[in-house]
Amino acid sequence: MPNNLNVGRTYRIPPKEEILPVYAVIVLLIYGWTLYKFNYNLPGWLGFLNFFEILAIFAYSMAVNFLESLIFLLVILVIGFFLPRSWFSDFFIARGAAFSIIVLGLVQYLAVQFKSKEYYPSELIRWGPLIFILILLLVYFAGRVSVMNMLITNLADRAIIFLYLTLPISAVSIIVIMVRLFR
Amino acid sequence: MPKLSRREFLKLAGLAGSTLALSRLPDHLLDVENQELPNIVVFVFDSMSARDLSLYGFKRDTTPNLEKFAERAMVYHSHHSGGNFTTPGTASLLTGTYPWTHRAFNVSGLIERSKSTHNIFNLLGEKYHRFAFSQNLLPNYFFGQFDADIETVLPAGSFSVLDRVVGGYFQNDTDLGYRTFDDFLFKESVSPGSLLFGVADRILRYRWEVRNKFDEYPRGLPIAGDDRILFRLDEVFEGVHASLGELQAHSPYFAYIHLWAPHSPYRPSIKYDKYFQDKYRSIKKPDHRLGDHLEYYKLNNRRQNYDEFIANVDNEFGKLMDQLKAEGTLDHSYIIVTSDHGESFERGVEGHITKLLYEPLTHIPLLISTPDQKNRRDFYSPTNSVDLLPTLLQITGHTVPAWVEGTILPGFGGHEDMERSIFTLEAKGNQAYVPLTRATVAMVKGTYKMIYYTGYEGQDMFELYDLENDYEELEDLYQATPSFGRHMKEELLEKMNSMNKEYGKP
Repeated sequence: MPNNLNVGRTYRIPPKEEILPVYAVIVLLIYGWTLYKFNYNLPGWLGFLNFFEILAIFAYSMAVNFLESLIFLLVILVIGFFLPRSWFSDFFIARGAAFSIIVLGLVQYLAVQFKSKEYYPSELIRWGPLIFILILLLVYFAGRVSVMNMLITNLADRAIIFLYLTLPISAVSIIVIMVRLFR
Repeated sequence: MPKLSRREFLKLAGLAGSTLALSRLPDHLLDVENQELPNIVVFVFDSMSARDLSLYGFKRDTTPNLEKFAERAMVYHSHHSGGNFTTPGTASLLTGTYPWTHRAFNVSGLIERSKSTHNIFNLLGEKYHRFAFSQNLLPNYFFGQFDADIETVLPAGSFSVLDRVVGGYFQNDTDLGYRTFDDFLFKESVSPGSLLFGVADRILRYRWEVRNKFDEYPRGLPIAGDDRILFRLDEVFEGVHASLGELQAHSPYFAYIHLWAPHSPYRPSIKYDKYFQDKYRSIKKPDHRLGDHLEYYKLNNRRQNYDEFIANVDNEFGKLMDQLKAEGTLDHSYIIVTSDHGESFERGVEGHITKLLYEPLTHIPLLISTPDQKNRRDFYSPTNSVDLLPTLLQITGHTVPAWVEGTILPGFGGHEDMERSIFTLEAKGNQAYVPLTRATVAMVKGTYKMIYYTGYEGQDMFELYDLENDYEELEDLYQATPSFGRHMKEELLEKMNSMNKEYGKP
């Protein structure tokens, strides 16, 4: 049963029990995208790169993903910090995860569509502030509508398992990169 | 007179002797070993097809300055690349071996690790200050492999207006830096591998381009390095000129300069935009079954853009040569002008990412100006990019190793051999370290050319052309001359089979 630890509490930065599920959703989307693209490129690399070179590309990618996911989490925490508590920080898991899914989903759409100058999303960027407000509205309702809240919170809780995989991989990747750069 | 101890005397004698030796040694080395060695500058213009150069008889006046340069140079009329895109073409030039030997025939492929010392930088040795600069990222992968043999490698984004290349920041890991960031995480023209940074990088880059208009470049600034570098052609040439000036202090030097233009996107400066408003139309050729089926009129329009970009490059090259001549650099330098591969605007194919190996894709320029040259000399026998390495070794007094597949060019000790066979290989769809089963191979022998397609959809296929009487490769003689066709086919297949042996059975 998903817990809503934050209801009625008066803090601005959520406890780590609430941050972790949100971070897990971010990791799922950011690492998942890179792994998907990595697998897409792998057959080509296997043609001419050796195992250790491919491993090094993987290490760099995982380290970049780690940085990306932390930055994105920071953005969510900052939003939660500045918005009224009842708008975002209450039901932080549901709202933070919903925000991550919507925004990162939108970025994935951009990544697929925006391949060349002709597809520059000028309209999307022009309407960016309005879209952001709409997203915040959706996120607000993700906390208010109990079915959505439960669904997203459940998903976020289950996503935590990926952290047991991605965080150690990222740590090893950073060590590998340090060794390569400072050898 | 102060009395010296035996120990002090020996120290003094030793010091005097070594001072005497050192004062003579540099002069001696300079006279005999260094000063006589010429400087060598290799200019590679990416995607410059000989078929679009007025120097080689093209109807548009694309290269008046190259023609002027040719007045005191060796001009090779049947020079061919080792491959039809940068990776194999450049690797063949730098290693003196064909793609089936160096194995760099995949996009962003590498030279086989065990053969990475087989390169011109290594063979010229430390007597030369070895310098490399490529705006195209693909040769930079090779520079990473050769890093022990190159004193100076300029970053790909040097002399550019906007440089978004990330790999260059990884000093100890440049090769994988380019490969991970510029060729994967931030890769342009496909979805980037990095979701947040990749998309943000792309948006920032396009916003920059939209906000920074350059009136001198009506089609936008030329773009290089997998779309990560935006540059002005004149500034790049000025940068190259400055680099050559700095290299004078390190004479003798070997400089490999690989410039992006006239590679697509074809974006000449305003003077050359719409420069060829003529009635010229290339001959309409049937679409090839392995081609992209692009429309004839579009190909003609694109070819006009390409020719305009070539004219722009030629103009900048002319200015650079005038400067070098005025400074006296040409008097003690070999200047080599060539390309890594050609460009196609026929049979439904635009550019060079194709399985085809017709002449526009493989016939490239080669001009070599020697320090004391006064007149033009023309050579018509087939030559290949693999010949440049042995020729440079010959010029610099080195022995040509047995593994080199090229021969010394005529004019430098080699002879015009019309019976010699030269090859071009396209195999980007084939894994590097397995036998070639999905490839196109072209063999030029005298004035004849055979093209072999294997491993593609449909049956394996041979084509045979008489380049002397059928310049446009329109009449396939393979069926019409069965005996000669069989002879050519046997030679080509024998060569391919012998090269495949090292990698097991197909």
